[in-house]
Amino acid sequence: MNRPERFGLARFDAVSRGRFAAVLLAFVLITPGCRPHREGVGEEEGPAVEGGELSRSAVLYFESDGGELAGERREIFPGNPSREAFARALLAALAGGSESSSRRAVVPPALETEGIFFDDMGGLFLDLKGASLRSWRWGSSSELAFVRAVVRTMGGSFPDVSRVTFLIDGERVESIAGHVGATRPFEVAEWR
Amino acid sequence: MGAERCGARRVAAVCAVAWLALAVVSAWGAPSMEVRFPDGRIERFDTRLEGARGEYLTADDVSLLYGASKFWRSDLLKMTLRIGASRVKITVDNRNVVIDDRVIHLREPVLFRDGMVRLPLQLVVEILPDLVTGYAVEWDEGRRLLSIGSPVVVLDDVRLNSVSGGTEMVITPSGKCDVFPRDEAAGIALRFPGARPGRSPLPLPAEGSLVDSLAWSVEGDTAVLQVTTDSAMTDYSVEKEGRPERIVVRLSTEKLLRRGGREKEDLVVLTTPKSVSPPRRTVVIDAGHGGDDPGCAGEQGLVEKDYVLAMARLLRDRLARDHGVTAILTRDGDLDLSLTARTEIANRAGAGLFVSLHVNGSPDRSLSGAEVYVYSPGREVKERVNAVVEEATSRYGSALVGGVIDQDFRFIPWEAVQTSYRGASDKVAGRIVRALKRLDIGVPRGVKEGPFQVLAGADMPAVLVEIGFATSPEDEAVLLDDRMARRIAGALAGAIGGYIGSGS
Ligand SMILES: [Zn+2]
Repeated sequence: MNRPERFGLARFDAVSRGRFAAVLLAFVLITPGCRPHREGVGEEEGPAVEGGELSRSAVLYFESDGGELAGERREIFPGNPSREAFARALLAALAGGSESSSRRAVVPPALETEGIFFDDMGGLFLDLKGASLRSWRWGSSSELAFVRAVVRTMGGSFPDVSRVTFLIDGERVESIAGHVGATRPFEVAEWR
Repeated sequence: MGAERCGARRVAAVCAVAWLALAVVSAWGAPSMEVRFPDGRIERFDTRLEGARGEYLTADDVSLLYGASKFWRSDLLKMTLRIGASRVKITVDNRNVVIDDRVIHLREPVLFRDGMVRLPLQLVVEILPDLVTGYAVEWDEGRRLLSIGSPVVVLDDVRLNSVSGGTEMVITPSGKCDVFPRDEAAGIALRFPGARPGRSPLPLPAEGSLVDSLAWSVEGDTAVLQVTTDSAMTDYSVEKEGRPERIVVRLSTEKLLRRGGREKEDLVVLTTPKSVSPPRRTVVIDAGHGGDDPGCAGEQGLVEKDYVLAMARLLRDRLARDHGVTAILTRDGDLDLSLTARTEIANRAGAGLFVSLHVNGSPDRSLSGAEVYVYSPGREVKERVNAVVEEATSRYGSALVGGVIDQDFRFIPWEAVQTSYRGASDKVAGRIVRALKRLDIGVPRGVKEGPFQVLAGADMPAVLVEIGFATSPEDEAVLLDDRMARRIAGALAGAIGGYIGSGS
């Protein structure tokens, strides 16, 4: 994958406007003419062939003090422009936790997916690895928080997704952790 | 939101040019806009950019609003945005934007400030919304409000087929969609709430078709297909098919036989209501988890499946001794048991109450206290219930009122069996919460509701009790104390016995 060195938005955040001109000048001096610029090729599953650093903005949900969910705006670098890759990166970011010490992740840090699928009817299927769900502090509270955080994050990032279904190791399950029913999809509109 | 990203140094710069910015802003109208998200939340976005003519939003904001992937070439100061199936190519300090193969000339150039690509508002609210697929985006210039709609179902595919004995119309919506036919003088009006007509032209009826003409109209958020029918039409039927979602309208010159039979899941249950059933003094106590599923664990050694089994046994003894109530355990050992198997045991026993015992967990160690859950189904289940009750009403007429036929039988879909006990379940939950409150286990959290699978199939009042948090060191110490465990069992027995004894 032709992924240029990471010198995009994130690094520029820290650069003051005063330095911007100097940085730009440096670019002009060190950038060798025209780099291969493969724009407009590739399809959904392909690598980041548009050229440049791929990112998307999203709102991730974490638990704040008192057990309420709080949204946090973040840049996500999915590495691949497909919806599946973005959804996977969102789950990883949810598991990775908040940038604020006052918020906690409600998704197990070890969470892994077997697969992620979208149907064309507004359904998103998240197939989770059962082993990666164990050894988490599951209870009714944390299971509800897990469902709410994932469904809200996915619903907000994919406005055409209206239902999220969880599978474990490829199978439909009664429940993710023994409390909340997961045989049916969770409707985004109900879990806001 | 974008402003948060800027460094502290920017604050000084902002102050220095504040008066200038104010002057600039007043010359170009309000410096902000509002966005209404699909969940109804309204957020204000700053569109001001110091020193620039016109208003701007950051590419990050656009990515969030339109689900756009951004490809940023910092070396070339070029960005490609992928929105829906379109590619939008922009270049910093340039007024030309290439959308797929179309070049659009903007009034203001794309800018790069404070490490962010800034897109002119003209591009964001006038041009990009058309590229978004799957949901509607609308810009209200007067209110400066960008509405990002809920997913919209588009009815873009309508076909007319000639079939023996009549005409068939097949409508393929872009998503799940309800249809409500209404007879009108000139034919039928098919109403599709939450959908809108597509852009493709409607088919022209062939010679001999029972459809004379088709026309779309829109009433609020409802698309209406006006079907003018031929006088030879005697009957019609409207059927919804899933996977793929299709709506098939059959127009016939003869009386149509309606297709009967529902899906297995829609089975309805007829049972005697509480008022005429004998008092049920048996209670089923369910120790949560078990076998391969240990449930939650604490740092001081509490394991949920073992703790709740011991508690269930204590509770069974206290109910028998203090209240003369028989309790049956769903598991009296370390067994794997599915959630539906647990309520099945209670249903077979004809129990008057189902209580599932659990110990809670949270990533937040400060969360503590007991909470009691009652069942609340999701919207989809509620809708299915309504549909089944509607059909039952049409079959059985006025004898069926509120799901009760002649006061002798309840008539409800099995999926919703627990919902008909909601009032009684709330009462039990309230009693348990009050009883546990006296024991000082953390901060009591009260009665809550949710789509709890272990309660869904209980044909009796049912509650799920989270006694305390294993993840709270204080709660765990309290729960592990033998004397406290006996007091908890006594409190639960008091609440349950009180409910069974009172009959409500
Ligand atoms: Zn549990």
